[in-house]
Amino acid sequence: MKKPIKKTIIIYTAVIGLLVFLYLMGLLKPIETVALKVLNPITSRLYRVSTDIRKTYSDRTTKHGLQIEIDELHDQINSLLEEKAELENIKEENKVLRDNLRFLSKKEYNYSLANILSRDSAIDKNGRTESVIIDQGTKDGLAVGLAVVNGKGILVGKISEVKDAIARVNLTNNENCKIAATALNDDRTSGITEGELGLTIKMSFIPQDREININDIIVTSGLEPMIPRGLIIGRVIEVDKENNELWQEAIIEPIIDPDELIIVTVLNPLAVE
Amino acid sequence: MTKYLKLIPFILTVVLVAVVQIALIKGLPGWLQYLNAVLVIMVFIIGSRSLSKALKWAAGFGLVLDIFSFSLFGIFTVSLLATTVLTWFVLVNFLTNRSLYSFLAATVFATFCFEVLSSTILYFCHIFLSLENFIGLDRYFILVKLYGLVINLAVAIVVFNFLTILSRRYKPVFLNKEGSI
Repeated sequence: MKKPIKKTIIIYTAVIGLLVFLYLMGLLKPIETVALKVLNPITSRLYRVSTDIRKTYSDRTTKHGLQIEIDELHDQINSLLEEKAELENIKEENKVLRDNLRFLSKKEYNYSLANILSRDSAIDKNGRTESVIIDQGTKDGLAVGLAVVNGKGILVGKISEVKDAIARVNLTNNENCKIAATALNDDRTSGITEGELGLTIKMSFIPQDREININDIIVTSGLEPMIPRGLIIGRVIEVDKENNELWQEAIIEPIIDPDELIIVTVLNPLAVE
Repeated sequence: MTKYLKLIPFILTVVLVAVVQIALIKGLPGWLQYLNAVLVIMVFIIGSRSLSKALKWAAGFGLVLDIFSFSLFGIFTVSLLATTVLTWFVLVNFLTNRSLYSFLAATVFATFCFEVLSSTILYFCHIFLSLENFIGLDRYFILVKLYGLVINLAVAIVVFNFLTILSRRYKPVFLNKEGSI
């Protein structure tokens, strides 16, 4: 190799080595934060464009299954209408009780809205959306372990890493996203949920003597200090109960489609109003 | 002063391409999400510019990708710089003409180098620094990398044909033998 080329390579190696060192020492954090704050609006807009393209593509490829889905949804609507009537009564009763007990009304915790900037980090090229990057960070009061929900209050995931201006959210279908959960049934069956193969959620550590059934709704149990109780995680679609095992397992279908998320809400129970 | 003014289009292009890679391409459906546009662009820069200029682009792309990454800072920069040097070496010593085949071979080589380097560094970070979100070497991982290679090659063909229209520096698909029509 010629000398000037060798010299160029050595210079670049030294500069990058120095940058990595300065970054690890935390000296480049302010520059990184400013750069991210400037780039986040552009990045979130581009992500919206890609989400629109993905949605259009998905709509076109899944049309043939729509008729079956429509029939199933009609049945579901009927049963939900009955359920709604019942819940309306409970809601009314609950309102009176809350007023009487002077509960804090809806928001017992602070929350902040965040735009999704990207799916996964650029190196995790597995194609499955198991984590997303959002445009809020420690400077916005975010911390590792906080719950992230969609517009309807359904749990989307949990913050796994935070920088000053961005944070990574491990979605509920990510195997690194472990959440203390409970089933909305008579037994209030508890367990731990974690993602499985990026597609479904597995609920494990369910005691053998506890009842868990298909179609049970799984919510957060509130045992984790950072995650409020009662956030919907999904619906049980399969129960795996072996008599010779210590625990039983359940497969949960997530209610949300992570590919359609654009804006999410981060709940912060630590900052009580 | 003009030296610094010249840096503005460079910085804007680097940031734009890197942000498109992170936010737009990663969110596309099907095979398109596996495209590494940064790498394909780097191959064409290596093939048409000097090594020092290519290294400047690689460092720029790498730094922007690293800012958005939650892995150890520098992984993308180091991988891109090393890939640039190795691809340049192959282009200069083995793929001397600027035909489509040279660029396709360079794209295959660069993709392989980048994936091996970044995955190896990430693996060691996972082992020694306990960084999560590392994807193991399973069948799905290899399949995804192959999809990435195919889509990179497809885009390289499109870019090459586009460049042949714009510039005479690139040769057509088949090299004309001397004397033939």
